Order: sequence, then C-alpha cells, then structure tokens
Amino acid sequence: MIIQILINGILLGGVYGLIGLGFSIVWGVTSLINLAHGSLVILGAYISFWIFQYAHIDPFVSIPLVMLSLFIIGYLMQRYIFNLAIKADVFLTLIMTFGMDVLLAQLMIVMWSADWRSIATSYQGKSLIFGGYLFPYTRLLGFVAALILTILTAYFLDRTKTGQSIKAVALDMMAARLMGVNPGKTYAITFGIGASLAGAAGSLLAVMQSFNPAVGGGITLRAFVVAILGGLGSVEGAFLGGIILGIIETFSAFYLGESFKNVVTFTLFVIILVTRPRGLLGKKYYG
Amino acid sequence: MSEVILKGRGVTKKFGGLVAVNSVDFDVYEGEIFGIIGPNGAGKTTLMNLIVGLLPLSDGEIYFRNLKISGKKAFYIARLGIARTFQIVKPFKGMTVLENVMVGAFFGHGNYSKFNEAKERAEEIVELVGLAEKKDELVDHLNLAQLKRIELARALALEPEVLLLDEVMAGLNPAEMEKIMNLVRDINKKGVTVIMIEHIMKAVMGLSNRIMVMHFGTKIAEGTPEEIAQNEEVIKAYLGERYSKRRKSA
Amino acid sequence: MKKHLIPLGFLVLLIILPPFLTGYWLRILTGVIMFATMTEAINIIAGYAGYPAFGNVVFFGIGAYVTAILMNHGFGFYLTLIPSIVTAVLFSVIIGLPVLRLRGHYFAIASLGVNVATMEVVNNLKIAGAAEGLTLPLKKGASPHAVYTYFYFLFLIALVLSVLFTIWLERNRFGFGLRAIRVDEDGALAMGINTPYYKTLAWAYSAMFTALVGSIYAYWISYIDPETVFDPIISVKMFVMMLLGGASTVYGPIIGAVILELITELVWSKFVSIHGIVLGIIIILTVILIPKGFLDLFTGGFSWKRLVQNIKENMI
Repeated sequence: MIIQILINGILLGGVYGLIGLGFSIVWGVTSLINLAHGSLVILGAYISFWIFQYAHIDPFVSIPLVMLSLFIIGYLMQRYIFNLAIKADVFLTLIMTFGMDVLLAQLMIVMWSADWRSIATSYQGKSLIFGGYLFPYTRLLGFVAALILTILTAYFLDRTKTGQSIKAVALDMMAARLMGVNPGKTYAITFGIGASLAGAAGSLLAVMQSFNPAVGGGITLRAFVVAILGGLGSVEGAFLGGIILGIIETFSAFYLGESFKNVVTFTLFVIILVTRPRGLLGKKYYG
Repeated sequence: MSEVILKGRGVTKKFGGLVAVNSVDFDVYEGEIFGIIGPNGAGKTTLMNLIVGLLPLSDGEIYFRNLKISGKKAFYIARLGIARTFQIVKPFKGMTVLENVMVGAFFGHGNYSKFNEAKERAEEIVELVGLAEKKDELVDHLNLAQLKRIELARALALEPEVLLLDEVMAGLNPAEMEKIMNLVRDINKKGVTVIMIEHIMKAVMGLSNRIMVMHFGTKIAEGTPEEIAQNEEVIKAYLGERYSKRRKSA
Repeated sequence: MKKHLIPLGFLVLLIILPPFLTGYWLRILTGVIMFATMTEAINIIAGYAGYPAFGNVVFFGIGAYVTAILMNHGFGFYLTLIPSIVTAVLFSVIIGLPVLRLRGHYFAIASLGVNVATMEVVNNLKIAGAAEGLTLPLKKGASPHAVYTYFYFLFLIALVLSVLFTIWLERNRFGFGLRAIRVDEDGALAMGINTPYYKTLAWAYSAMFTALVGSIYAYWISYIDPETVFDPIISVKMFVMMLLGGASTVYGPIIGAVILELITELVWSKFVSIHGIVLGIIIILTVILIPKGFLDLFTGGFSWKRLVQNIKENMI
C-alpha cells in the first residue's frame, strides 16, 4: 500500500513541479511573486477544456496550443501591465498580482461559470498495471509530459540566446543592458514562459481532477512551496520540490483524510519559510 | 594612564572558510581617540560590527569596562553607551533630520522617553553638528556631507561613552573634512572615547592618540601615529613588498 | 493639534448622522467604518513598521470565531470581546516570534500562509462548525434601523480607538522605533531599538484592533464561515485602502477606505457579475498610478509632474 501511495504522490508531484517551475522562473528573474499564477494554471485548464469540447482534441495533444495562448497572454500582461510597476516595493507588486488574480478569477467565472469542470478522456480511470501496482494513465502521461517540459525548459535556459539573455538579466540588469539586452522585453518573455508552463500544468491537472475558477489560490501557494522547497534558482530543484510536495500531500490525504491535506500543506509551507536553509534565500538567478 | 573602556581578546570572525577577523586583541583607553587603519578587506568594518553586536563573534570576547558585551544583542549594546556610524550612510528615509536624531535620543544611553525631552535633546545635537537650518527637512533631500553629519548626530544622540566612526570622512571635500575633524575633536574633549576607521591618512594621523593597523584580518601593528608611520610591516602592507625592500636597500 | 480639527468635525457629523440615513446608506457607511478600522490596524504593522502582513485577515477571522463560539455557549456579546482580543494577540505573538524574523517577500507570503493554514484548521474544527460555519444569536432592537445604528456605533467606537492609538503612535517613542525599523532594521538596532520586541508588539496591536472588528462583524452579520472571514481578499483590500490614502499616516487609511469601499459598493450593487473584474482593475491601477497614495499626491498642492514621476520611478 505504501508503495502505491508513493507512486501516486510522485506522479502528482510531476505536475506540481511544473506549476512551481513557471512560478519560480518568474520570481527568480523578475523578482515578481506572481499571486495570479494559480489562475493562469486554471486558465490553461479551461482552454484545454474548450479545445477538447469543441475540437475534440486530446488534452495532451493540445498542450502546445495551450502553451502558446498562455505565452501570449503572459507576455502582454508583463509587458503592458506588470512592467509599469515592477520596481515598486515588494508589497505593491504583490498586491498588483493579487489584483490580477481577482480579475482573472472573475473573468473565468463570466466565461465558464463557477461550476466544477473536468475533462473526461476515453482513458480516464484506466491504469497501467506494472509489478502489481497501478499507474493511472492520466497521471502517468501527466508525469511524463511534466518531465519533458522541465527538461526542455532547462535546455532552453542553458542553450539558447534568449535563455542566456534571461539569465543575464536575472544576474545583473545593468550589465545585461550594456550588452544590448532589453530588460523590459526579457521580463515579458520570462513571464510568458512562466505563464505557458502554468498553462501546460493546467492542461495536465484538467485530466486528473475537476477544477473551477476558485481553486487558483491554493495552486499559487503550492507553487510557492515547490519553489522554496526546490530552491529558487534551480530547474531540477523545482521538479524535485514538486515531487516532495506530491508525496507529502498524497500521504497526508491517505492517513489524515482529504480535508486535512490542506492543513498539512499550508502548515508545512509556513514551517519551510521560517526554517529554510539560508542558501535558498541568497540565490536569485537561474544558474 | 586612564582606564581601559573597551577590551577585545582573541576576537575572531569567520565567514565560511574566510577568516575576516583573526584573533585580534585590543585595549581602548577611556578618553582617547583610537584609529583603526588597514587596506580594503582588512576586516575593520567587520570588527566594528562585532563590537556593536551586529554580527556574532566566532570566537573571543569583548568587554565594555568589566562587562562582557560579546554575545549581547545590538540594541542592548547601543543602550549601554556604545554608538556607531555607518560607512554607507543609513539615514531613516521619510523622516526629517530632527526625527532621525530623535530616534537616537529616544532609545540611547540618555533614555529620553518623553517626546518633548527627546525633541529638545535632538535639537541641541542638530545645532552642534551644524544642521539646525535643515532640521525640518526630509533626509531624503540631503547631500552626502549632510548625511554624514546626520550619522554623527544620531550616534551622538545616543549619548555614547564610546563612539565608533566608520569612515565619516570618505567622499567629503577638504573643507568639509576639516569641519568634521574639528567636530570629532570637540566630541572627544567632552569625554567621549572615539574609535575611528579611516582611509584618509591625514585625518587618522592628525586625530588619533593611538592607531591599530589591520591586514587580512590580523593586527599587524599598534602604536602612536609616529610609530605607525615608521613601522616596516605597515609600509609593506600598504605599499607592497617591493617598495619596502627598495626602501631598505636605499 | 490643528490637523485633527477637520477629522473631529467629521466625527461629530458621523455621530449625528444616523437618524437621517436610510438603512441602505447606514449599512454602507458601517462597512466603510469597519474597513477603515481594519486599515488603521494593518497600517501599524505594514505602514509604520513596514512589515507587509498579507495575512492580517487571520485576526479578523479569529475575532469573529471566538465571539461566535462563545455566544453560542451563552455568553453575552460584550463578554466575548476580551477573550477575542486576547486570543488574537496571543496568536500574533506565537506566530510573530518566528515569522517576524522573515523580511520582505518572505514575511508577506508566510503571513498569508498562516492565514490559509488557520482557515483550513477552522474548516476541520467541530466546535467552530467546520466548513458549514456558525450562526450567532440575532441582535434584538426596537426596529431594524435601531439595530443598524447600534452596529454603526460599535464600529465607530472601534475606529475612534484605532485613530487615537495612531495619533499617540505618531508622537511616541514606540512609533519612532517602528518607523526606524521600516527603513533599516540594522540601523534601528544600532540606535538601541529592540527590534524583535517592537515588531511583535506592533503586530499584537494590529491583531487587537482587527480582532475587535471581527467580533463586531460576526455579531452584525450573525453568520460566519471560514471562507468568508479568512478570505485573503479582505487583507488585500486593507492594503489597497492603506495605499490609496497613504501608508503610515493617521488619516490615510480612512480616506482609502472611503474611496475603495464606496466604489466597490456602488459597483457591487450595479454589476454583481463583474464585481471582481472591476475590483481587480482598481487594485492594479492603484499600484501603477498612485503608489504613494492620495495624501502624498495632494500634500503641498497637486502636481501632474509628481504624479508622472511617481509612476516612472517604478517602471522598467
């Protein structure tokens, strides 16, 4: 039984890792703690839901399309809204992104109502059985997709010119400016990437569980837990942090009950923040 | 000779593998001006942070008179009567000149807990450092020379017995420097023991009764300004090995 | 003293006003006063001490729940106030000791985490009615208007207390200590300020007023559930109000509360379905356009130059 719970936790953790990765990249590069991150995840879920409903395209196939939509939304959001106050005090930018969260959540209610939705794929509820353990297809595919996207993100940051300029801006904005990097645009691209990863995570969540516009807040806090657990500044760390959170949640849901899962997660969240090793705070870039 | 007011024994600070201050002993006598010099990175500011309790010691002990102050909290040490200024000025922005100085009066050794008492005391000190005309201006609008005076005024408002000055002259023009030097002399004459870190040789040499020289975290010399000016180790540390050898052969 | 004359005039007006107002306007004004008090409270920790307590609504929830639970066990309303405040203050101290060691982002988010974690605990607490919430005994009065007026004055008393506290803070050593902490904590330590103690005390005062408001709110609305009284949006509204009016000023929070609460109430009554959209836009615009608040903008005469300059400072 324990091994089965562990498997479920790890598979869920992959998606949590992806949620945390987008959040952590934006935070690490632009210093913006994006409280609207959870709403972007849910927005991704709704877009995936739409595509599935009207075009009958499988949510795993439509991931690139969802990511592209979210990239554009994220790019514009940062470029024409958040960049206007990006250098303000911490709590100002926090409030700003919270305002965006309120706006997005209501917008989604207007578009899709507050009802719970889910995407019912043909393979939903079916599992791969391996060594006597169950691997639900939706979770297994979700985990694989999250892993691939994490690797692609790491590759993108390390090996492409845009990725390098993002890192340069994160490290030293003045120096990057002198090298001809446009920080405003780089911030927008970074946020676009964060949003597209959120969107992808939303697609994956949509096939695993039901969702409505109100669950964004909880997702944002989970993103934060993952980013802190993994260490701000590491792509692999975010993935690992996601898996740790996935395991903790699955175990606490099993042993303490579903309703206590959140108590554990958020208490853990506060404890990590207070006792986090010093190293996590100092690093502020993607190196 | 007067009494030892501040004493350090084996004072050490490590940052990871780096030893910023390495087993330094020092004795500062009541009423003197004690200079600390040394090249960049010699550990002077770290030593100052250790004395006032902004950093914990890795090893060693510091005493104020006979009271052990190492391990005590910074605010407690400040209230005992050990005040400091910061090399990088740290004015309380959004507050006026007078309000900045009032903070010191409220919480310092003098312990003026009433608003009007603190205000009166702060006004005297603002006058003393020559900022009376600016007293109701926000510190955000002042220039560096004025901010250095505020640093000094705030520290004085604590009514310290020992005043630690971290490069109060840096970035000032000769005329401003002269004024600050006179001010430091006046403060000292009133019985305040002064410890100063300074890069500007003219200032340290001119003001200090005794000087301690630090290099790579260790104390390499201590003595009167004249002794220090002649000291081989000091010349080597400041001007490099080659210069020292050439001097010897000459 | 002079600057308190106009507010004093407003206070007199507020005292004689209720008989002339309809129930609708009395209720709206009560909401404004309630938020103004909570904004004064958050101003102590976030404005003066500079610690952005994003989860301050947790004390509102605690106050509301202590009153609700005790009243359900037969206590009179006034008897619940001391336990409510004591619980919130103790909570703030216990949480504050570790959490107030964090700075900036980390403190803001940790306090939000405390809020959400507390909400989840209450969600599972049998004595607090778990997720279903609690109903309180209704306040009896000669007429609905009399009941409205009763709560209006309760909140008004809370507001006056919080304002008096802030006025005291402005001219007191405690207030100076907090302002020093906001700007530079190391500098404050070197000035002899016991920063951990001061921060904890500031949050405790903030908790005290917020819990008091929570208690009155619970009795006023007579039904509470975790999702409502621990809603982070309440904290954010307090922040926006503080910003609109001007942080670390005595009257800024009230001005902010009047502006935002009136706007949201008017929008709420006309466009319920897009209420959140409008609120979100107001929040974002406030941060971008008036990051230093209206009071700052109008001190020494309004100037477009300063408006533009304030905006440009924060742009990339």
